[in-house]
Amino acid sequence: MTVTTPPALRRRGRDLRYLAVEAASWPASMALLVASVLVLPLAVLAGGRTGGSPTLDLVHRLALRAHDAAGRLAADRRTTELPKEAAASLGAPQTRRNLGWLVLHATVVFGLSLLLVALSVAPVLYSLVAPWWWLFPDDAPMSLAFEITSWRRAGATVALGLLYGALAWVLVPWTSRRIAWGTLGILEPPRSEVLAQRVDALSVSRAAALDAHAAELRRIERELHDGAQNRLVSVVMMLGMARRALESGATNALPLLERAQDAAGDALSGLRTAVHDIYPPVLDELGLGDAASSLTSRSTIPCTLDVRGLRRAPAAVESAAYFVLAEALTNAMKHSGASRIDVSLRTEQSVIEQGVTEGAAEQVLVVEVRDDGHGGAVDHGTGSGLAGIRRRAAAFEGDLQLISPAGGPTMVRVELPCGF
Amino acid sequence: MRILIAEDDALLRAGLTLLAESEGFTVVEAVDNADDLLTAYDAHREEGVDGAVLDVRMPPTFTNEGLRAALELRERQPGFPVLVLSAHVEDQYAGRLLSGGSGGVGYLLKDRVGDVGQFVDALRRVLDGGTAMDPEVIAQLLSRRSGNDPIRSLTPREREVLSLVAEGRSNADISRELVLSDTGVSKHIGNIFSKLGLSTSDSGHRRVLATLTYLRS
Repeated sequence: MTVTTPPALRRRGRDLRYLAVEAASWPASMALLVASVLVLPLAVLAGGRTGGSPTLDLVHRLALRAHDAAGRLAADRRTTELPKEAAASLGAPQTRRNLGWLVLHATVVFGLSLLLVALSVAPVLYSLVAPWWWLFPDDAPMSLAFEITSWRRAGATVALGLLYGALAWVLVPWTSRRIAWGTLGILEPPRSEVLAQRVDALSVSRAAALDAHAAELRRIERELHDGAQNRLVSVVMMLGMARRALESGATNALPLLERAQDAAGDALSGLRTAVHDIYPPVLDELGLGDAASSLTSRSTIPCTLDVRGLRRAPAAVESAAYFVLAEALTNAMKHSGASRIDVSLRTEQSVIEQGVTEGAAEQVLVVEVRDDGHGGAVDHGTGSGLAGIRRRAAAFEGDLQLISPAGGPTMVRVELPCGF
Repeated sequence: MRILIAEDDALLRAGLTLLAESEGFTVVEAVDNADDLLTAYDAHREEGVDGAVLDVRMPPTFTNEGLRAALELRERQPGFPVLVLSAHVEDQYAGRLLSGGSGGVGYLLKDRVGDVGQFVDALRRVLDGGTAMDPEVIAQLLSRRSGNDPIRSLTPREREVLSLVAEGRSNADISRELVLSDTGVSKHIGNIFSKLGLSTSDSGHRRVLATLTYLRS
């Protein structure tokens, strides 16, 4: 036996805790196994649809917990996040994986975990209990591993407990790791499936990127058409009328010229807005943090900005974050009735490491806008400001989270992967 | 002359109204979308409406509501004069406006309002049952004629005359524009029509339609 170092002990403590929790969750997995056996034939009769089956939902939740625990123990082996909701069909690969895991968990995992927990507890239990053998009456002696009727036998019991402990010392890390690996291996989709899902996700995000791009072009075209172009037509028209008035010797051309000048001024400011909306010059010059601060300082509602955890991201991501923030602020100002807005921009490590970029932790740019308004914001699909945000996020495989209960407060959180 | 105006941009709408009224037209109603235009037309039909000036792109979809409203008006009253304005012109749209075969059609770039004199002429022409095609449309049509087209055999001067004819201009107009005598213009037109194999007996609006039909074929 090697010298006991605290890290080794800590590690074993963690492993043992893992095994204890797995063993303790046995009643749940056994009950669900029985329930599944009863329910599945019905599901098959119903054509394999299991949507809303509480049993399979619970199995999935139990599996999620086990996957989580195993993932924490064997962080180096973890690759994929499981879906949050149970699959709606019996034939779904995840449903089958869940059931396979359930069988294993209710039997082998439980047996091994229980055995190892018992082995680990034995030295403590035996050492504490055996010295009191003499308190027991002669006709009903204390019985641990065997009956204890003398100090010699008590010593042997303690020695046996220590032997168990030594065995546990070696076996606990080994076994717990294998159980964790097995759990991950059974529950997680095989690599090919992960890749297929990734391809699907990429296809969706590419389509969203194209959509976002087309929508952007339309928006810019609309802005130029309704703004500068129409204003310039007005300018030309007013000048034409002024000229005609002057040619016919009239003296009332001045108001027309004034209107032409006003319209030309409008056209200029329209162009400035359009140019700014295509790519805000401040982003290039100052970076996202300062660009965001110029946005928040223009807010009509008192607005705080926290960019302490913000790091530079690719220009496209920063630009998307900028517009997301601009749109979220506009929404809050227009609809929330809030008296304050808190904005946070920061760079986070992504929780999920996709199977393909195994090990390489991905950075996400998080835009978070909270207001203390009356809430009740809903994502109406197309047209709303939220839809615009969603579109921009989707283009980067990002995610929009909206929490806005009636009565408030509202929180909009957008995650944009930096290495999309 | 009593006209309806449909233009969604408030400033432009006011400008067009001002321009039309200062040139002696009566603006019966100026609205900002196609549906209101049709409603206004129905409301004022009894008292008489001589035509409509409308923007192609209006709410709600900002695509071609104006064009559809123009066709709808001409459906309700064949030959109802419509002058369609647009930020950019497409000969496809011109074709749809002309497809009824009757006159009283105008299709101009919005920019043309800058030349008030010509714009008002075009509006009068349309209200009189004539045609006003934007030079840009004619240029598009001419540019897509292929290699051995008879149009290739026209002299540059004849092509200029042809363009103006297709725009819907009168002989007097053309002679003024190109600084030619009236007889000179008539001679050019005679030459052009015989080169293209068109009937030289057509005159006025029929001549314009024949030319446009030829160019679009």
